[in-house]
Amino acid sequence: MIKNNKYIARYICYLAVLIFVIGCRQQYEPTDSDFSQFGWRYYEDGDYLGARDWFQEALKEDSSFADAYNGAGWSLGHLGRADSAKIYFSAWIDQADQENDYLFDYYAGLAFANNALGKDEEALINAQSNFFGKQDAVSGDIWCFCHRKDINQIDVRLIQAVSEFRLGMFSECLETVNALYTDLTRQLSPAGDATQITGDYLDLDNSGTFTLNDKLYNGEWIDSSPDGQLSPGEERLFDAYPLFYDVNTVMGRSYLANHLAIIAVHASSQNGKNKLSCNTDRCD
Amino acid sequence: MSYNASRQDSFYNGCIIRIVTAGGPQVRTILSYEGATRTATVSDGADDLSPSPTDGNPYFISPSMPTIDPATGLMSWTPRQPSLENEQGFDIVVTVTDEYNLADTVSVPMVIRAVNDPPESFLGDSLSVVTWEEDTSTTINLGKYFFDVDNGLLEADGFEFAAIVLGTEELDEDFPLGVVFPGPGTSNEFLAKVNRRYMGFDPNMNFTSQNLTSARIQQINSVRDNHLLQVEISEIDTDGDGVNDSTMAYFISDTNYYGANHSVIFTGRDYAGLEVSDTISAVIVPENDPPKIAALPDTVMYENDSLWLKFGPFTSDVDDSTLKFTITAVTNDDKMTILPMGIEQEYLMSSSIEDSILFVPSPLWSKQAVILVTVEDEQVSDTSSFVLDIERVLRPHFSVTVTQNNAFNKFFQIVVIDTVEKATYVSLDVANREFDLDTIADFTYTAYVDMESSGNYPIDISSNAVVGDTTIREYFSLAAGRAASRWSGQSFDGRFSVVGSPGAVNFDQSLLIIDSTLFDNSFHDRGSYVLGNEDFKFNKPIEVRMVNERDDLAIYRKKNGSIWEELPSLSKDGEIFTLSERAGYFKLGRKTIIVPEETNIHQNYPNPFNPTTTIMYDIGLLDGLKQKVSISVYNLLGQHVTTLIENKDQIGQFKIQWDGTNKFGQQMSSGVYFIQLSTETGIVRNKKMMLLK
Repeated sequence: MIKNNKYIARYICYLAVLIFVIGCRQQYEPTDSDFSQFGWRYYEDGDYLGARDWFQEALKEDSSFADAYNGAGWSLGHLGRADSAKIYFSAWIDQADQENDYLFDYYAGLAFANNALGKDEEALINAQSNFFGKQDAVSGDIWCFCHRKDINQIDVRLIQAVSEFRLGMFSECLETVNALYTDLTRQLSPAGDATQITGDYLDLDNSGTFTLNDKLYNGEWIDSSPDGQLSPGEERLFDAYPLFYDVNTVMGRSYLANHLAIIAVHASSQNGKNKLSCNTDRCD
Repeated sequence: MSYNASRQDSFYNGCIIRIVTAGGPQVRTILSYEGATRTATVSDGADDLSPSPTDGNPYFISPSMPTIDPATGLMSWTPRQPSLENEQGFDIVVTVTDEYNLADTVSVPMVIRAVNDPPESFLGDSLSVVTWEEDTSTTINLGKYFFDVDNGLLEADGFEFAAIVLGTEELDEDFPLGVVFPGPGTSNEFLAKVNRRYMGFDPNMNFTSQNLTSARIQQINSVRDNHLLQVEISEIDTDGDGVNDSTMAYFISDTNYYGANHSVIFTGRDYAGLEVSDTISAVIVPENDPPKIAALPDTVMYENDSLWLKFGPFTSDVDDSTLKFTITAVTNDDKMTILPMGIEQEYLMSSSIEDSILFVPSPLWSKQAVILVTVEDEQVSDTSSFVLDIERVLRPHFSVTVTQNNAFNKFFQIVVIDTVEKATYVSLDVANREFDLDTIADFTYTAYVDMESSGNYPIDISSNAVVGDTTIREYFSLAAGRAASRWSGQSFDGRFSVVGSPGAVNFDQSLLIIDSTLFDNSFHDRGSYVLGNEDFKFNKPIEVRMVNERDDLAIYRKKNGSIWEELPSLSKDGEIFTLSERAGYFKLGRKTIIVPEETNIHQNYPNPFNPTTTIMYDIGLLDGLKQKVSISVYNLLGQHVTTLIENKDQIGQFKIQWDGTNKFGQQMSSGVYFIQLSTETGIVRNKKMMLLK
């Protein structure tokens, strides 16, 4: 019993010291960066409303904090507030150092927001000129959004294609869709990924990589057997790459629109098949 | 020759002058003059003096009358002899008889020397008009109306005939526009002469050099080349002796031509160039020709359209300028309105090929109608029919696609394309909310919509078109995936539904559900559905249900964009149920996998056994996809003997064998053993087995 009392006394001492220490500790004031990190945590958990609040807190702390503009924009976009998202993205771009600041998140966000708002011309500028126009295609630095890596440049390419379609630039849209296939396939080309890419295309020339001679598994086919399988002799509808549609005809445009819808389903960002290995160094 | 018979008084009623042939077989009186009446007649029958030049009478003398001048008593006579080769002797016998019948006679011999006499004609006097009916012809024997006392009228006699048909359009006297038709053997010289006479020039010559205007030349050519009436002169053998003996003129009129008062001049010329001409009138009596209507081509028109048709170009009537057209629909007459000249009348009296008939099918009606066209003149009619095919006009046919903004997935783009290019106006409602459609190209429209909550969203597309306004309804659905709560969604038809448990998705998001109708142009797996993005992987399997009573069907999901993979499915309560780790395409297909509902283990068999037994076990779908099933054997003391299955996930019914050995391969002794199935999800099932050696 005495022994137990000794333990209790010791605990009380420890507790007193602890209370003292805590009580003497200087009060910690969260910084804009802290708020922003909270925001991203909420964002990554899918709580966009909570994320938005934290990012806005961060901006209260520092109205020039780029990361908060970024987070607020993306959060509001997911919340269906594309107009507000656009304001946040634009606000930072107006302040940003165009040469040094990493702006692809903003351009992509603006492309998505403008697309959501039906601002096709602006969406196209942000996707085509600002995003892909400033992307270093040679280095192969593939963009994905650090806080949701399933959103990548294929999605931006889709926005570009949709915007072009909406603007009646059907030929350009077709080119963009073909460029999208390039995005899709270049990650599938390495020989080391051979098992991974099985089923994604028909390696008709047995080269082990996707070439223009091969056929993509990217759409639908006429199951004439019908056995649910793509059998020899059965034609796929969207397997020719690059695509050739006569977009001057309604049927050509109809095929293109269908293709856009299908490829949006097929090549979507969310854990989809694009499997882009984006550069995440900057995300750390 | 003249003979003085001036003693009129003495000869009164008694002086008879007779001219008789001399040297003939008999005395023939060719003229007698009885002074009292002072008439001179040519003797006929009794003296065998026929006036016909065709009877071969060698004594024929033309009926030219001798005349006696009463004042002077001189007799004048111009005889014509039948032969140029022989001289003909005559005696002029004057017999004087007084009232007491005392008579005296004086005879004066006379020789008539032969000279060529011109041919003569009494065609105009005898016939004057030749008449025949349209579409027929007629013939006259020229030999009956022409004669030449000292020549034959045949080609062999050197006789030339030509007929001249005068046109009804005379230009002027210099150009009477007669068309010359030569007879047999007519010389070019005679032909040219006649042409010059009746046409003013020889058309066989180069008349362009004759200072004629081109219009005149054109007119001359037209008259010369377009022979509505022709006369063909030819010789025939009437008695069958192989020698032509008659000259015939055939009057041939152009088919369907009729008219009157064509002047036809026959000109004959003997070998010495003496001519005779005579004119008759040709009258072609009109005959009614029936109207004719040719086969009418089948015609196509479009629904809701109207069509003007002309039947004049298919109709002909040579002698009627006004025809009666009656047009009726033999079939579907209640669907066709036929308006001659665009107005309601039973028939059309038409005198112009430009007259038209308006056909108006009933609105929105499109089939075939057999149209009968009857054309009548005042006497007869003709009919023809054709098929008027009223083609259905395509209604707008819309291809609708829905594309989701992949990042901000509450926003969607809807593309509407009228693939048959018929729409004139298109409007869009989504969930009874009107959205503006942008026309981005011909028959191509887009709209942006934003939807958030889970549910079915009807897409109503209304369009106006030239024919038939069209309204279609497509659907898309949203399953509002929730990270922290259970969520669900279903297709608009309720036949496809999904349920996700908390944690299945990382964050709240809208998952698009559409069916294959929205992939009209490219998606050929009818009755299939798309959930979200293909190959989207859920953190936890979601429940997928498709309504169907059949238990031989399973749910398939597309794998790798092309291969349909059967998912273990259960049929229960009119639904087919499965669990899926991924989003994407789903459809029903033939069931090939036996899928238990619950995870369980069956009694081994045989039991008791030595040394091998078989154990069946189920990995049931309702207990989850990732159960990690393990099956182990324990002895009565609860000691682990061996593990037969470890962490198996595959849904289905399986069987394994235990050969009575432990995990080290050592044979176990007789006794009771327990076989235990356990899963990572906490399911434990045991069965008792007996090894009996």
